[in-house]
Formats: sequence, C-alpha cells, structure tokens
Amino acid sequence: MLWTRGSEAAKDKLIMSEKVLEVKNLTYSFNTYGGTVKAVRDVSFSVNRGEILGIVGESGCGKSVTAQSILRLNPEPPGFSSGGEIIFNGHDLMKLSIKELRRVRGQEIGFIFQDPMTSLNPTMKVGDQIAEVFHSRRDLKRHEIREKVIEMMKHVGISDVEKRYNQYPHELSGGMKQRIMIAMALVSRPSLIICDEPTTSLDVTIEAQILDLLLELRNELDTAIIMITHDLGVIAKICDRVLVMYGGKIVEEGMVDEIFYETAHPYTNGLLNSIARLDMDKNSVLTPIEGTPPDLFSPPAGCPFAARCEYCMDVCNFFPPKTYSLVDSHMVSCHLKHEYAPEVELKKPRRHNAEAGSKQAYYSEPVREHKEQALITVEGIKRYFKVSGRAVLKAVDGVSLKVYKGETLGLVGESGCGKSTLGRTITRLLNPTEGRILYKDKEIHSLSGEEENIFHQKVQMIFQNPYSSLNPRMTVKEIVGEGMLLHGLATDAIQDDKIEELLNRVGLGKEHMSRFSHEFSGGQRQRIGIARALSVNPEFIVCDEPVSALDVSIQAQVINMLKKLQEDMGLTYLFIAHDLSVVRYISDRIAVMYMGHIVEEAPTEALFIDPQHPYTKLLLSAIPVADPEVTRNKKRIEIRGEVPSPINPGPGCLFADRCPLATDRCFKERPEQKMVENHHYVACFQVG
Amino acid sequence: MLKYVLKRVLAALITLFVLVSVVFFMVRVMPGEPFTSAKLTPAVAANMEKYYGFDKPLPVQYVQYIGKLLQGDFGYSMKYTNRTVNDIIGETFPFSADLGIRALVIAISFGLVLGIISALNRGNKIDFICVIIAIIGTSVPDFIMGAFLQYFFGIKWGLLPIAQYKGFEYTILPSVALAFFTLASVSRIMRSSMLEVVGQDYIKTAKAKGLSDLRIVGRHQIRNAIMPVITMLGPTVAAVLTGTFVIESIYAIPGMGKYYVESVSTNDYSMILGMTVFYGAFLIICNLIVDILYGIVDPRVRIATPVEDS
Repeated sequence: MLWTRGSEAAKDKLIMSEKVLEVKNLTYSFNTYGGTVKAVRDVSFSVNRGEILGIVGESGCGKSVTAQSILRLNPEPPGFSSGGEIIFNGHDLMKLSIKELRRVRGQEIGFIFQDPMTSLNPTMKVGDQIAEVFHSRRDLKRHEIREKVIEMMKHVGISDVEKRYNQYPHELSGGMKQRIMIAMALVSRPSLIICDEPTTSLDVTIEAQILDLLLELRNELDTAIIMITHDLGVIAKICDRVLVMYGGKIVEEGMVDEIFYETAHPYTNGLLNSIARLDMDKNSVLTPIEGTPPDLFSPPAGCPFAARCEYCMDVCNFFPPKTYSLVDSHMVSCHLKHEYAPEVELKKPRRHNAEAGSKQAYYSEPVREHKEQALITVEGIKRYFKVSGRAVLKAVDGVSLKVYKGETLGLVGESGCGKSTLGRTITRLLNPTEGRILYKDKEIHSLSGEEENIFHQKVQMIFQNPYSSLNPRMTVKEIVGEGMLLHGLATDAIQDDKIEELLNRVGLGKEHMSRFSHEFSGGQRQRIGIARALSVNPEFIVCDEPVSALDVSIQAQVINMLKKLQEDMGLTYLFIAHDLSVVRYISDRIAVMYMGHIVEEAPTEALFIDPQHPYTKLLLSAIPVADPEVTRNKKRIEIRGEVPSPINPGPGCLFADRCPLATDRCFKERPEQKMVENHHYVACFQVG
Repeated sequence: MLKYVLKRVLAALITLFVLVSVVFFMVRVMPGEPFTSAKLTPAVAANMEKYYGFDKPLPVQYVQYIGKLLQGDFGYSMKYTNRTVNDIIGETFPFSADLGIRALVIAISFGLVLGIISALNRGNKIDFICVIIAIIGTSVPDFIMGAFLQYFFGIKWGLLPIAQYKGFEYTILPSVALAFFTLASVSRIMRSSMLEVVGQDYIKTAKAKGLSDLRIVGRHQIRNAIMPVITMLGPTVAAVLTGTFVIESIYAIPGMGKYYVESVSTNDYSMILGMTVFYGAFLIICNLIVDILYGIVDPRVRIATPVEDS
C-alpha cells in the first residue's frame, strides 16, 4: 500500500486500541419559541486513542451540538439532553456534577472553536488565557505554569514567545490566534481534543499549516482528535475515520477510504458529487443535491434524507432505516442495504485526476481578446485607506485588467488581498485613490448624469453574505422591484409579472413575493440577491464571494444557476472568491491577487496546469483535495509565514518574505507583469 | 499609550478654550445688566461699570479676562461686593463635590452590582426586582425622590435628619436621592451588556477550559461588559453634578448650586462665567479620565485604527 493512514494495518491498529470516548444514543434538543428543535437524534459513536475522527455534514446537521454536548457546553436552557451516555475514562460525563465536569473540561478534553477572532477574550493577554487552564491546579507554582505555557506555545509554532505571551488577541493574526487556541487546548496534555471547524474562518495557506500542525501533534502526543467540519477536503487530508451526519443522525460511518471510495449512503455520495473540484474544468457540470435539509422542529418519520434522495423508496418516508454493517468498520443507515431492497449502483464521482489535460492544448484555446471590445478596463487602480496616524493601508496598489464581454474573470486571493476592494471600486461603491476605470471606453468618473444612471443599471453586484445584504424590513417583491422602478424599467402594472419571471429564473416562485428575507434559507436568500441584481437588465455583475457562506450542496445549486444565467442572458462576470476550485469551475480567465497586486493572470486551464508565480503554486498546493489518496501522495510545498501587514509595505516584491525563490533583488525591486505565454502574465523576477 | 493620553489632553484643552469663549460672549447678549437696581443712581452705576472694566470694548475685555483666567483668577462677584468668585467657589464647592462624589460612588457601585445580579439571575424573581428598581429609578425625578426620602426616613420613621449637611448621617439621604437615577441607568446598561457578553464565543472558550462560574463572570464577563458603562460615565458625572442644584435646595445644603442659579437671574457676569468655566473644566477632566480609563480596560482602544472611507 502506498499510504499508511488508509492501510489495513493502520485500520487494525486503530480498532484494537482503547476507546477514549464512547457516545451512546445521545439525543439533544433545544426549546425555542417555535417549538422543540431535535438537533441530535440517537447518535452513537466512539473515538479511539490517537485517532482523528472526522464528523462531516452541512450546517444544521447537528455535528457541533453533538461535540459541544460532550462537555455540556451548549447553553442550558434552552438546550437539554433527553437520554444517552457519554463514557469518558470510565465515567459517564452526563452523570457528573458540574464541579466534577470542570475537572474534565480543559484538563482531559480540550476544545478548539471555529472562529479564533471571537473565541479569545479581547481584554486579556493571550499567555494568561492559556495559563488559565491550570487555574484550578493548586499543585503547580506560577513559574511552572508559565514554563508549561511557553513550551506549548513554542510547540504549536509560535515564534518570539516571550513577547507574544504578553500580547492581546487583536495584536495577533488569525492564524496566530488559532495557534493560541490550539496551545490552550493542548497545554494540559488532554487525551482528547475536539475541534469545531477549526480552519473554516482561515485562509487556505493558513488552514494547511494548522492542519499539518494538528497531524504532527497527534503523532507526537498520541492525542485523539474529533474533527468537525463541512469540508470534505479537510476530512480527506487528516482524518482516519469519518462520521457523516444528516438531519441530526449519523447516516454513514467508516474509515476515510471507505467513505470516499466505497461510498454507501446516497447523501455522502451526493456531497462528494456536489463539490467543485480542482480538476474540474468549465465544461463539466456540478451535481447539486436538490432541495433543502429537513426541518428539525418536526423531523421526518423515516430517513431524514428521503425528501432529497434520488433513490428514495416508499419505505424511506415512513420507517427510519436500520444501521447495516458492510464490513466491521463501515456502517450505513439506508434502506437500500436491506436484503429485499433493489440493487442500486450509486453514481459515484470520478476519481480525482491531479494531472488532467495537456499544457499545449490550453494555451491554444481561443481567447476573446482580439474579437471583442473590453467591457470593463481597469488602468492602474490604487485604493488606499488612511489608518490611524500617518499609516496608509494600500488595499489595492496599481491593478490593471480587462474584462471582455460574455466572459467570467475569476479574481482569487486570500483575505485582505484587496479583491473585494477592487470589486467595489469597479462598481463605484468606492472611489479610487488613483487610476482610471473605463466602461465601454468611457471613464466612469466623468460620466454625465444620464450616462451615470445607465452605468449603475448595467453594472450590478452580488454580495457575499446573504444574511446581511438583504433589508430585513422589505419583502422580496420590494427588494427585487426597487431597482426596476428606480430605473424606470417597469410600471406598477407590469412589475409583478416581471418579478415573477425573475424569481422563476432563480428557482423561486410567485408565492415568495410577499415574504421577508428571514423566512428563507441561506441558499434561497442568495437567489433573491441574484434576482435583485438581474432585475435591472445588467450587462456586468461583480460576484463578491457569492457562495462562500453556503453549504456545499447548496453552493453547487447556486453556481450552476449563475452559469446558466450567463449563457441565457449573455452576462459578464467578475467572480471574486478565495476558493480556487469554485473559480476554476466558472471562470474563463483567472487573476491571482496578493496584497493589492495581481501577481498572475492567465486563461483558467493554463493557470491550473502550468502555474508560474510561486504564490499561485503555493495556493494550489495548499487546497485540501477531497480525495484521501491524492492528498497523501500530493507534492507539498512548504508554506512559510503568513500574509504580512499591508500597512506601509516595503519596496520589494510583496511575496518575497514567504517565497522559496526569493533573491536579493526581490527584496529591493518590485517586479512588473510580463507575458510568459500567450495571455499568461506573471509578476515575478524568477519566472520566464 | 502616552501618545493616546497626550492627544486626549490636547483635545480637552481646546474644548475648554472654546467653552470659555462661547460663554463669555453669550453672557453679554443676555437681556439685562448687572447694575440695574433701583437704588443705584446712574452715576454710581457708571462708576461701577468702569470699576469692572465694562467701559472698554468687548474684545479688550475678552483678552483681559483670558489673561486673568490663565492666572486662575475669576475676578470679583458683581452681586456680593468685595468677594471674589474664587472665594465663593472655594467655600461652596466642597459641599457640592462631597455630595456629588458620594452620589457617584453609590450610583456606580450599587448600579454595577444590581446589573450583574440581575443578569446572572435572568428571568427569575431577583431579576424582576432589580428591573423594577431600575424602572422606578429612571422614571421618578430626583426632587420627588428627595421629598419621599425626607418624608419616610426623616419625618415618619425619624431615622435620619431631614436637612442640612453637618455630618455623615446628614449626607445619606441627599446622596441617595441624587444617586438614584444614575444607579438605575448604570444597572440597566450593565445588565444588557452582561447578557450580550455571555453569548460571546470567548465565554464558551472559558467554559471549555474548565473555569468556575465565578471566575468566568469575574475575569471574562464583567471586564468586557463594563465597557459601555465606562463610556456613559462622562455624561453621568455631568448629570450627577448638575443634579446637585435641585437636591441642594431641597436639603438646604450650602453648595454651589444656589449661587449658580442666583447669578443667572441677577446677571452677575463674572460669577456666571467663573462657575461655568469651573464646572466645564471639571467635566472635561472627568471625561478625560474616562477616556484614559477606557484605554486601560480595553487594550484595543490604545491603537484604535479607524479606517477612513471616502
């Protein structure tokens, strides 16, 4: 076998090793004004010593509630458990007094939360926050605690520890904060740590570092880890065993390779099919799971997935499926495994192909440039922000690009690289500090009143957060119709028909018109946001991370819809995202941004097959691929450091600090963009 | 931190200067003049005006006034002849300040405790009682509260003296009456702030660390929840100190309030100016202290980075 993690030997070892934690028949609910939410229903699983157990599922599937109920961290009330046992070190945690439980919390079970930005107390030094874990330990002296903290901080890769110890959370970067959280969870050497989406709010390069760190720590300290995530790439990268949760239940459980390669539950299969993948080009189609997750106020009597399952039988709607054991480690709750059920072959995703396509083919692909007029031309745009005192934050620092009619230009980069600022500057939500933006060869800042109206009609934006970008006091009809009336595109009389047509286009209906945005799910809200943008017949839409707040099965629905709308209505997109796989799937060309500069710009396939800039290579290597075997064999680029502060940057190449190829020249001069192949531009001295 | 403090001090000085200038000219456009008593013959009045320097042009008077002010001299009162404004302030302010500080201490300490207790008992009887106290405190004006306290504690039960200011037991009723409104608002703000903080992720982190409830509340919750209370302390100090005027007259306390009110009705220019500037300076210093305190409690303020937008 090529890998150790998935091997039979490793599997045997895991099964033989002792159980650290055993959860039996856990049921957990919340009382709300609307009724009782049955968040977790009869869940049983166990974790072995030194094992990384992944719990994967979409939002609302009960994975976080399960994890938090282990340490009774859910707010009670309204939360309450109605049965089950949680056996840890021979004790049932459910039966411990709160005082006894406190000795387990932090001491024997560590917890890492999702968002390091909000999970640290802003008014306390980070070192003291870690040291607090030992607060109840009377046997340790002050300096002993400090030594332990400092040792663990070094262990999790924090440099300059003595200085960091006395810093406050706001003085640290996101990745550094998450390291502090990890140090906090590990400092007492617990036998189990529970990570609740520990990398979801981090950038991919930082995510890769944190995941590597967790793997390393597991190997050194033999700590068991429960890894909760919605990201199958993270699961493939570090987990040994996986639980798939849906609608408050475990639907499938198995070793990581079993889950990915011998997928047995239609939901797991659907998830694997719906993710946008790095090896997926623009011509392939994502297969979303249609519909939305079940309402847990009154969970379905039968299988929770029945309503969305393409293999659904009558029995699925009425009787919950039994759990069938396929091999000793692989279990699935699905009626299809019943002996009388028909033999069904799930439509499995094809295996990940790391070397898809030939380099030559992609460069010879036609590019629109010569045929078409550029719809949007950006020339040397700079956008600075004043920060306190004399400091200047150079969010966008000299960007030039063109967007041609009918194409999608993908704009990728990590948080803080200036991609959203650029998008907002192009739509005139922000004014540039310097530079010109042309819309059909006309400077957008010197448009006449009439032309300006047309510009604001033809250029629209779809926002990232569907929860905060819709006015909660307006009905869908008002939200979608506002722009039409403003631009005189509809009178009151025909407005309803137009809105209905738009809603139909985005997969909603007439019946939704009089509702308010809070009545919709995240995916539906994003559809409303898209309908709003479409309502004024735009030509050009800036999509600012339109799917990053959505679950994968819903993401696929929205992306497919955006693609279809583009074909039907001849739209042009600037698609901003941090997720390279989504961008590959939708873009014709891609620009990679780093600290306010475009470091590489190329036709999509060329960028993936033949990346040139070290930063692009780094990004590509950091993305967790949802295929365990590929991840294990993947060539890894060592990732150094984090994105530096964009306030008063140095004179050289901005990536030089983290670049493996950097020479003296890179620190002194800033490289210009140059063409390395047809339509492929790179800003790097070491390339070409 | 030092830079932050210096910036605040400079801002405070500018505010004070603006205050002095505005009040100086506003006093002069008030209807009436200081020497209009029927007993004064025009010749005497003119003489007095000359004595106080009113015969000179206004800008000159202004410059002279600022010059004296820089030496800490507020000039002579026009009503109480031969007494300087400095004297009167020196004599009466200690009473007002004593009353104000007592009230503030009561208001803040009891207000915080009430708010914390209320939040920790959210939804049960104790919370209900605390909320009722807060509602009474914010809706009953202080002169009514003062009279109530006098009636029950002074007259009906005879526990405490009704009026005057001659020892500790005399101070209790007026300072409680003065404190009540502020106490109520502090407790309301603290309660809602505590409830907001309890839902924060870092409280969950603290719980997951295995800390006791006492420590979570003490180290993590209160310190973060207290921010909004500190923010309102500046205006609160102003409210309490201006509130002393009413309470002083109800309890016959020889404080500054009486003189201040009187000086306005008699157009005693130097007195109005002096006392306004004095109070103004006092409040500005209070606000300055609050700002600095805020910087100490919340480390983020020290390097505040407001991003400027177009």
